[in-house]
Amino acid sequence: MVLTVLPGQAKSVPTDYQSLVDNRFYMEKITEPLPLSGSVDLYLVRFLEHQTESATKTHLRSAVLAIENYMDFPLPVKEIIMLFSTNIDAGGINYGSHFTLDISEDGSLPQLIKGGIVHEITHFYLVMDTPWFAEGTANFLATQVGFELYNQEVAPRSNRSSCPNDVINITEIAAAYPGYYPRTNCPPVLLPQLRRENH
Amino acid sequence: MGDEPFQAAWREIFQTGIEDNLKFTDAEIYQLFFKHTPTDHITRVNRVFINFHGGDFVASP
Repeated sequence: MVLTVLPGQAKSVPTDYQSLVDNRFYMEKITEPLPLSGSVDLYLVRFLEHQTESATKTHLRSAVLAIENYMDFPLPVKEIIMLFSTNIDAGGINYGSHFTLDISEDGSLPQLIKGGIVHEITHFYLVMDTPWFAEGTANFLATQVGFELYNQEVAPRSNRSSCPNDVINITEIAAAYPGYYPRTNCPPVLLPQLRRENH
Repeated sequence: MGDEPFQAAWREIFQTGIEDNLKFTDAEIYQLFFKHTPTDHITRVNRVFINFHGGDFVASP
């Protein structure tokens, strides 16, 4: 398992890399039964000791169930390895074999709801190479699962990072960034609008 | 387009894509949503794509 984590962290956080090499980390593992895929092995890896039954683990277990239920398709991976660390670009990255999340997202509600766990898991369902759909679906599902699990509206987190300022449509983005035509570089917008038709 | 048609399109996109190992284009994604759109909502769904995607593949109502 450690070897799959190493490539993602070797460059960005050398100290964490060394901790992995030296076998100095803490890991929670649980096998979660799922109705469609049978089960998934969940691993939470940290460099600081944490409660065994962490809130993050509880959220993760609920989230994989809710995700598979909404997708109505088996989760396409048999194990999910989450590494909490620092200096994570964009707050979280899915490397295909595992994903990293900023340690600030390893907390309690509402941090967990707004955080990237569901977002990064959704990236395992890969059906399109262009970022608007991959990021859009990940944010959409994070919002959907947050509402289903906790009955809370969740502001899609990419509203913060992917939508320039307060622009609300492609015309405004093009006007604000002449010469740069993002073709929906504002991924959270299209899918919720499509479902609700509020435009 | 409403919850049920949206979810039907969503599930078809992911199930087909993963089962057949496909990587959809923007136009194909649009067509899959379009396919599940109730007839009386087509104009509004097209408007969402025009406003928020900007693609030139949107069908005339």
